[in-house]
Amino acid sequence: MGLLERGIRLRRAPSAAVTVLPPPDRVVLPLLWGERPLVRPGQRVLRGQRIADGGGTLPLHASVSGTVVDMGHHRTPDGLRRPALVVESDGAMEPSPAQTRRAVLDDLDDAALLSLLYEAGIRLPDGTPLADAAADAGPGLQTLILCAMDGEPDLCTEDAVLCSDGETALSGIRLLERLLRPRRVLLAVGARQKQAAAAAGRWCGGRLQLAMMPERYPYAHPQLLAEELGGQMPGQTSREAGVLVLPVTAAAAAGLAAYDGLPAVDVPVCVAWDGGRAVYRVPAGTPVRAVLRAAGQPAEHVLLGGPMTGRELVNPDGPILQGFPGLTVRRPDRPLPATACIRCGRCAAVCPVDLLPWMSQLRRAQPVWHGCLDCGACQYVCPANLPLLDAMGRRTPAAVG
Amino acid sequence: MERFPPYVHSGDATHLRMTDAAIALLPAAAGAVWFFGSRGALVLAAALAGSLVAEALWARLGRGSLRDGSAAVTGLLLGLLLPASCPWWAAMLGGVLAISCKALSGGLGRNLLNPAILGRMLLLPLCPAVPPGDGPYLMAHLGGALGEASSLLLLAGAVYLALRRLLPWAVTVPYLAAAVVAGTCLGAAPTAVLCWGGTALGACFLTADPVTSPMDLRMRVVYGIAAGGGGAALAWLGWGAAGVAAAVLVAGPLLRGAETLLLRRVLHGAAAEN
Repeated sequence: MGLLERGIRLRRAPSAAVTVLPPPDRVVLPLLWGERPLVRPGQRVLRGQRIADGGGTLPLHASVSGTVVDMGHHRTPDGLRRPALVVESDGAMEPSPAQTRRAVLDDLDDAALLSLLYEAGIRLPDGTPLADAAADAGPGLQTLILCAMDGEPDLCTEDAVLCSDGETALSGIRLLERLLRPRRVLLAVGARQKQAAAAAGRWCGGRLQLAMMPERYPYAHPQLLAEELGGQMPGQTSREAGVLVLPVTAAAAAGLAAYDGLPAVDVPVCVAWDGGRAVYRVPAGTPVRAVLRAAGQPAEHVLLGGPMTGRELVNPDGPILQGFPGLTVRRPDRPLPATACIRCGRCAAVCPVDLLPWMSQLRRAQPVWHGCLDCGACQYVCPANLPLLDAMGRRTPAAVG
Repeated sequence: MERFPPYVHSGDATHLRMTDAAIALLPAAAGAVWFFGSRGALVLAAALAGSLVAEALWARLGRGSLRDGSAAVTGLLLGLLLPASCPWWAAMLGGVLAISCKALSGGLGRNLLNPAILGRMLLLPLCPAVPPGDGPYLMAHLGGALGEASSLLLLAGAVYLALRRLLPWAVTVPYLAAAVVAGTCLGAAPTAVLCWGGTALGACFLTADPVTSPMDLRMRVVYGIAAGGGGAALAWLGWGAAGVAAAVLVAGPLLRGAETLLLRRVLHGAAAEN
């Protein structure tokens, strides 16, 4: 059974327009992947200038123009201590000259296009460079799926970017289409995302089609989209099935890199709170606190990501980086009374990958939980309020930002 | 205190489900009092009191909780399964035994046998089973257990359960079909089988206990057929409501056990292959 019958009905929040925030006083750019700095404290840098490189990973670019002031250890929003470059902004956001040298795209072959995407430093939320994901998918890709849905019901980053920067997103989609030459391109939009659907409707034609998805969490999980839209079989990898799922924000970043020569230096961030939400575009390295302040929200009871899969924000001064999952301001709910499993079967009924979470409550030996997405739908519906995810051996969420 | 996602919940809770189950039984309970008068009220009250007091005492020993509301449902259901001729102390004893058996098997969720039905079965020497009789089944049927008094009132409760999404259709519909088949084989009219309160009790209430019924869809259908066919057969063989209850009592754990064994093998088989 696929997504259409499984999952839980969580209504997606209405979207918001993207607001560009002025640059903060300073940005913190951690070297999370073993990059080596190319600049030193005291050196002036420009926006888009490469400031760290090497170690077999994507280059890091300055997101503001200013002066490098520090090269010590700083904490990420989830509390990890990492070496980082700190740039004090001069407020001018002066672009690096390398940025204005745009390649004529028609002259570029596949390898050159991949190199362009790599050098732009575009990284997907799971940490994979976009160029690597595209190269892996390679020729013979059957289905390219662009996902315009956030993974959480209250967050709307993808939809906001699609609606506010539609042309950029479309240019990125066209670029990926040209690079990957898939049999078809599907733009997955949620049933309530009317504006996005209308925008996408104007673009459709040829290989690009719109796919309206039901509002059932987990909406946007790449594996489920691949199975639902791309014909991937359970147990098959995306590569074997010839499917690639990318968020719309990644396509927009590709469009910016190719047509405006801008590397991945800006990050869209959604802040959701009780009764509202806002989406901002900020330079990478902006502290979380600045975005919370812009949204008029306190820095307490904040989750990185959404309430279904998020983590608690440990360090509000930590920087927002590519792939940032968004912020949810939410007071913790009062703990609900827990009982033993009453065998109601709701967990199995909602599991999007057909697992049986109730078996985690049996006293004897446990099955191995292959394929669990950690989506939390089972725990959400459980009337006994059981910690099912922990009983099934929760996976560690990928550290982002 | 460190917390982990998900940080939200649907709001569904065991005690809320139990409250809904109790509410669904209230029309039939009111009917029992209306049609059987003070005798009916006494039996119901005694069964309820026995269950609640036993749960409170077991809670002190750490093997139960009044908060989950299951004791009230057990008490009401047990009372509805008993005839009005049942002595009040027997009804109370039944409640105590029902809850105690549940507590001794590990508490809510761990019991293999439905406590209310088990309580009724244990009282058989004191309150023998009564056959369905001739009716009228829809209202004012005074020849059987308290719950048989009015199948219309039971239906009202079943509608409430359905609205609260607690009615297991995969069990109820096959149950009714199998009950009609079994009943007609034993000489009852199909409409009689469908209109009898005992059928409603079995199809909508006794089999709605999630703890003692299987979860898998196909297993539920088999469960419905077994409990319905067996229940109607036992009922028209002379056991009445107690027969319906006995069929559910036996079919539930059998199919629940089969489900666990089957799925465990499938899951371990899949894990071994991977």
